[in-house]
Amino acid sequence: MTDSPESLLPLQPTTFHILLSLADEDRHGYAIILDVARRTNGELKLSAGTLYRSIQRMLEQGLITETKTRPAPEMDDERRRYYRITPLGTAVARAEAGRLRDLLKMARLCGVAPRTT
Amino acid sequence: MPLYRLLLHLYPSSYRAEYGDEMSAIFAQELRRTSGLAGTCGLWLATVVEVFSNAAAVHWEIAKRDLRYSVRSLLRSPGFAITAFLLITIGIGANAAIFTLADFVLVRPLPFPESERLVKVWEKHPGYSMRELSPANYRDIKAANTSFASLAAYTDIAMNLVGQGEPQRVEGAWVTGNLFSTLGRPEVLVDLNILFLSFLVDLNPRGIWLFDSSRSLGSRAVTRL
Repeated sequence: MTDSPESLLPLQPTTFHILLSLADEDRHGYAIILDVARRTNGELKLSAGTLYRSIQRMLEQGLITETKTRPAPEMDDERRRYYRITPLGTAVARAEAGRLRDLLKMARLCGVAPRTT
Repeated sequence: MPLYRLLLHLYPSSYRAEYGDEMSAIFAQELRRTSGLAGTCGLWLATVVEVFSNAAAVHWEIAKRDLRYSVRSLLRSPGFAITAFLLITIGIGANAAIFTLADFVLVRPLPFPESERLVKVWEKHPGYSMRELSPANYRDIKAANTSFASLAAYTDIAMNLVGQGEPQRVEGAWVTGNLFSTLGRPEVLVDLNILFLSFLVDLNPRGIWLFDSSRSLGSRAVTRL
């Protein structure tokens, strides 16, 4: 576990997408896969192996945590585990977003990216 | 699904115990969302490739973590680290020595052609299951032999070599003249490079010190062939 968000940058794209997926609500593994696929228009489709390998590492780094809060039993599946972003995870996601924003700014100044979005 | 469960065995057992159920559930959902034979085959193919690559990566990550943990632990207690290092060194050395010995004694064939045909003949006496033949018995057995292609005899002996500079204690053997032809390696004397004592004079090796048994064991008895 680390205390400095910047020490974990740059993030792997998979890690960043998982953090984004958990930014607004707690999700289980398959919900993360579906959310990432939806948000990227199907361009990034995480496999179960890739997802849980990332989740294991993110748990160790303290970016996410497993939450005991579960939905109503009729909406739940006991095999599922739900994950929640931690304050460190939020800080790291913000730092990564800032890094990407600065990169985009530089790209615009160099004319390799459109000046307006 | 049993096949997917089987594939999951490529992952470390701790990882499988932690995430195996969820991964199986996700794969089952993916399978339900897939339609057609081509889609199913494609999903299986992608899954097999993904499991192989991810399992290797997980093994590597765990190995790296264990290695980091080990190094940190050892650095915290250098005395233990040095002791462990020495013990491992001794263990590896002993292992290599035992393997070398076992390899020479048990695994490698004897350095003679058709060594599988070589046998050693012993005498059996009450209370002694394996005794070397006496010279007289060897002579009698050889005279009556109809079973062996050839019979030869030797016995170990150590002697002092004098008259050639500083005296030396040399290990050697009395051998019958037909020993090395029996072994199929008349040149073996050169390989062994030790002192042999021959009481028959039909040996003709080069570069080997021999004693001529017809003479005394004084310095004048030494002859270099």
